[in-house]
Amino acid sequence: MNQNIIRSSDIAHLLNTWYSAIRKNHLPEAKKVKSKIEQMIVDMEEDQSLLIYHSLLEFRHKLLLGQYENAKTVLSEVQPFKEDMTDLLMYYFNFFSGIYARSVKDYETALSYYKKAEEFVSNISDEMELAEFHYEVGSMYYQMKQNLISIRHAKTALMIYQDKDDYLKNRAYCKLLLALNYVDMQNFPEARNYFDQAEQDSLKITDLRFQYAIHYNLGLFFSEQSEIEEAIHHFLVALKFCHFNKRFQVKTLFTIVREKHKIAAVDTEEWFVKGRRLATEINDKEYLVKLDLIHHLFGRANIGEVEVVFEKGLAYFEEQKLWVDLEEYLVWIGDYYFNLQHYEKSTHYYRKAIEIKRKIIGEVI
Amino acid sequence: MKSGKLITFVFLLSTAIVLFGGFIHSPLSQTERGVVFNETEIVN
Repeated sequence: MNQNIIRSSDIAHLLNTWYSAIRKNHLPEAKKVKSKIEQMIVDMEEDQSLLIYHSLLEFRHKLLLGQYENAKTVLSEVQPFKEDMTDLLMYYFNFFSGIYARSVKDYETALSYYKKAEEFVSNISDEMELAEFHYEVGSMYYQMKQNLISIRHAKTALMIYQDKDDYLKNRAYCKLLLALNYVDMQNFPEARNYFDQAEQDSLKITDLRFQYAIHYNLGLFFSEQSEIEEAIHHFLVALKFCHFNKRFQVKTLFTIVREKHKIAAVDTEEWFVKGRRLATEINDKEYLVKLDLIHHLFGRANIGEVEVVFEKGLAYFEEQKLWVDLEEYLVWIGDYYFNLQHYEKSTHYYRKAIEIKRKIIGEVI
Repeated sequence: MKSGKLITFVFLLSTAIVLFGGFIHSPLSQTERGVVFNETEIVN
């Protein structure tokens, strides 16, 4: 017998440590454990389930890093072994696939994976995993503007995280998620309450991304209450905290342009150019479309040009299945034509918006 | 014919108001989603 063979139980323990670091978003620790496992796994005794678990965690690790293309490759390598998966592995497979689909904004597919993962959730004995599951599902419903369902999941996750010192950041994200849902529901006192709690937590969190998240989200909070100057202030602060991520920068520049349009600020064009330049540089099609739409909806443009931009933008949302965006821009375009007294056109867009709204509700139910 | 179109328009408009609440009269209301995901550390 080869003396160097490593027991699978030793690797299993390390895999759990790795996943725990991923869940806590402790990237340096996750990377350290990952490289230790990579050195050891080549000498591990044969254990098919553990190798699948390892691949699934590899997939999850890449998602944490935002390496979606690489993650997809790992997922396709695991796919042929679905038949050999235990119920617990099936849960991870479906849950992580849902996270992947949600990350690339394919919410319909994400929802179907999460529903599948839920079938195996009874196999989960680790309550931190349950909290993770509820947080993810809650976040996804928030993306789909299904606020009541999102709140239910976020509160369940928060309850589990509540007294776990190690999970302060997860807890704070739960509070942000709740606050955002209440913003959607226009329940501003409740939103403020959760923002205050998250801000308290943020004093103990030295993480740029969290600082970015809190300010960006506060920007939305003030924007919804038409406190535009305050909203712009928070978006500008958020912009300073997201220099590490150009996608976040584009997202923030877009909201700045939007707010500037609301008050017809003299430097709106300047911000629009900045946003468009960066979106072009990183080929962020979603924000290119949104910037153009907002610019034509609320800026000065001739009607012929406007129609081309509207149709192009709406086609993009439809193609990408970005239903929430599609619904809202349809309403705005309806408003645009309504204000011009082009009633037939406005009716056409309102009608389409209603259809999309029904589709979103139908999918969730 | 014209009044038929008008009725259709009024019907659709009122349905839109019911479905979207007061939203259609507050342009630039929020379509953007907040930042909630605990990931995407480095993409650049």
